[in-house]
Amino acid sequence: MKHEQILEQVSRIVAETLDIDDLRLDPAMSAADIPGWDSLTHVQIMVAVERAFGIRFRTGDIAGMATVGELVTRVEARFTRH
Amino acid sequence: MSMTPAREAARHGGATLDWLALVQAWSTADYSKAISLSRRLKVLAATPEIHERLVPVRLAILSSATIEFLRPVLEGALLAAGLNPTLHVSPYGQVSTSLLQASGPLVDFEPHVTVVLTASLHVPGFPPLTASRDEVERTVDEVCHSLIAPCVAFNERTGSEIVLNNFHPLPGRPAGNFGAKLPGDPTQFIRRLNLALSDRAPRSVHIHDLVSLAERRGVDAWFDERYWYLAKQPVSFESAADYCRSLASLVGALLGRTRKCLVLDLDNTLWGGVIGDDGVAGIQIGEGTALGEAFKAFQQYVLALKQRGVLLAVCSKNDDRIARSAFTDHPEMVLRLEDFVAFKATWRPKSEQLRAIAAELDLPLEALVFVDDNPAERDEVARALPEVAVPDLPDDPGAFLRALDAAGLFEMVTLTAEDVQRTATYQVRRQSIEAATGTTDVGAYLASLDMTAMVRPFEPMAFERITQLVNKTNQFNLTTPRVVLAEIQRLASDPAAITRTVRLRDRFGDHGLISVLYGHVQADCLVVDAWLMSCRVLGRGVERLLLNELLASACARGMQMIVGCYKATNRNELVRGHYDSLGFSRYSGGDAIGSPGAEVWRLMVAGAVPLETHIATQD
Repeated sequence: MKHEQILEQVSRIVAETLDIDDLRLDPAMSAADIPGWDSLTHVQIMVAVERAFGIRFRTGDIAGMATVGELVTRVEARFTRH
Repeated sequence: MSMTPAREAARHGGATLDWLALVQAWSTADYSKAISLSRRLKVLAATPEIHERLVPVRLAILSSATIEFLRPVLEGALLAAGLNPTLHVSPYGQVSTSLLQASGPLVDFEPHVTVVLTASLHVPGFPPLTASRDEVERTVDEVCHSLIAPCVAFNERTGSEIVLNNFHPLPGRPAGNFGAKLPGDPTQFIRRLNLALSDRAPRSVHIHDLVSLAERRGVDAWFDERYWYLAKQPVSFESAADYCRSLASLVGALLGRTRKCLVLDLDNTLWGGVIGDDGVAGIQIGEGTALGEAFKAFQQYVLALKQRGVLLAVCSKNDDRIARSAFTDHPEMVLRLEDFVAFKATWRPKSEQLRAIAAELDLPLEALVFVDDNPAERDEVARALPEVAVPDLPDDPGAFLRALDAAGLFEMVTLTAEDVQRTATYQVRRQSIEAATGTTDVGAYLASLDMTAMVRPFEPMAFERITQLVNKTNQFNLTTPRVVLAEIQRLASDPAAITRTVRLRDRFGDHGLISVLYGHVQADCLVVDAWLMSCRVLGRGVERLLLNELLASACARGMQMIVGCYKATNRNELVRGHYDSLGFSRYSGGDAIGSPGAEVWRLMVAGAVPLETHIATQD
């Protein structure tokens, strides 16, 4: 799966979790740029992303993702290990 | 009361059907799906139509763990269980303090139910691995007391019922298999603590049995330490919805929202096969076959429900006498006639039979759970009687037990002498009450099935199935002929014969080849020699469709009348009125046509009009 495809699917998951229609994520965005993305919904997003891609983030990685681009990179890294 | 969705919506309002669909989806949703379903349940719960059906509950939650992630899902679970919750969440970690305070926000909230959620990792006082048995027992006593005493004090002060969970084992076995012999092993300690909680919790403290939930899932799936370290999440997200569903069932039971009567279909639900066709010796129940054992296990589970106070009833499309014979005559039947407080085996729509059962037992429809292997029957009941719980069953009878159990419809919070006696009490009542009857809109129900039939003459591909269906059908069979495949083959190529098969499909799937008819031309008569149908599609109007076919054939061949016979056997009482209902009259001049003892009926072709059906045809 390519970087752009992952970004697209992550966008969909975030939009669904935050209940926002028509959300377009940019790799440079951080949680603070997206309304509703707080510490509670962050975990919900991580859970949904893990489920959608069939991956498990490492314990230390779940909290420490500063930008959308970093999240996508982590997904890519876990995903390609299969 | 069978209706099309549109009519149904008019009776119940559209919100009810939307609600039912959401509740059904809820029953299997995972965490992420549950969050969005909960959102939609909340919106619908605000409409007056749904609001009035829900039982309000004030629920307090005290936890040493984080419940913010569970909260939206728990709200959804409570709504889906028919409760309208107002939640109060006490500050993180202040469980005992909150319970013991004589005043404060928790007391002011006046909870009906208080849930004390303690995570296994927060159990105080794990003993050292090498602790002696006495030391461990002392610790168990202390921990058990420290958990229960504040609950009892709070209950005495406020009257709130308390829900206390027990504890799943932790990951890790520091002593390996030897831990099983080591009292201080963390898993051994947890097990001893759980037993002590069960033994010592008083009536007002209800155990939420997380251990059995965790065991079913496996502890590795139940608990995800990553999210514990990160956010003190006591249950893995994978299992969070299960946790909430189970808790909601328990809270519902505390509020009296529990089902009282399990209404069961018979054929292919309590045994394998069709009693009317296969006979007592032919159905699968009991040892000997895998399927028979599966049905036996399911019956044993149902019997256990009865023993703890759930009423049992039968709702089957069957001949009453034949249906009862399965219970009286089959040596391996686990359930017996006296286990049932109502027994409806008729050919009426099931929703109608369920209404009669509720009336007979003087129970509200909300008290009933309907279990049937056939999705079309489940759908008819769910639409006509949304108050009745209709759990989805898998297509494997071996999995019925788990499916019904997982639905959590029969939670209980006490066991009384009355529970144990309940069936006997109702048995006495029943003898003095006449079954009430309801009405139904069958046509609208049939239309909603989207049926399509394929009517064909006998074709080589189907010879085997035709032979099988002719020989094994006993109930809907006018003359009960027994044939070999060669006879079917001969009929197919005989120009004087008329042969038809019907395949039926509806929105639930393909029923396959379900009806067979054949006859011959004799002077100006079209004589029907065999007419039979699988009882699975009884009451769908397939016989009316076939009559229209016969009429068309008779016209095309210039026949004046259609002649048919009914030959009574001890199995085919069901079709005694078959020709009468299709507009035929008795034909006294037709004795030469029918075999001795058969009733002969005829329909004049001139003036006969095709009958209305709800089945589309396809070539």
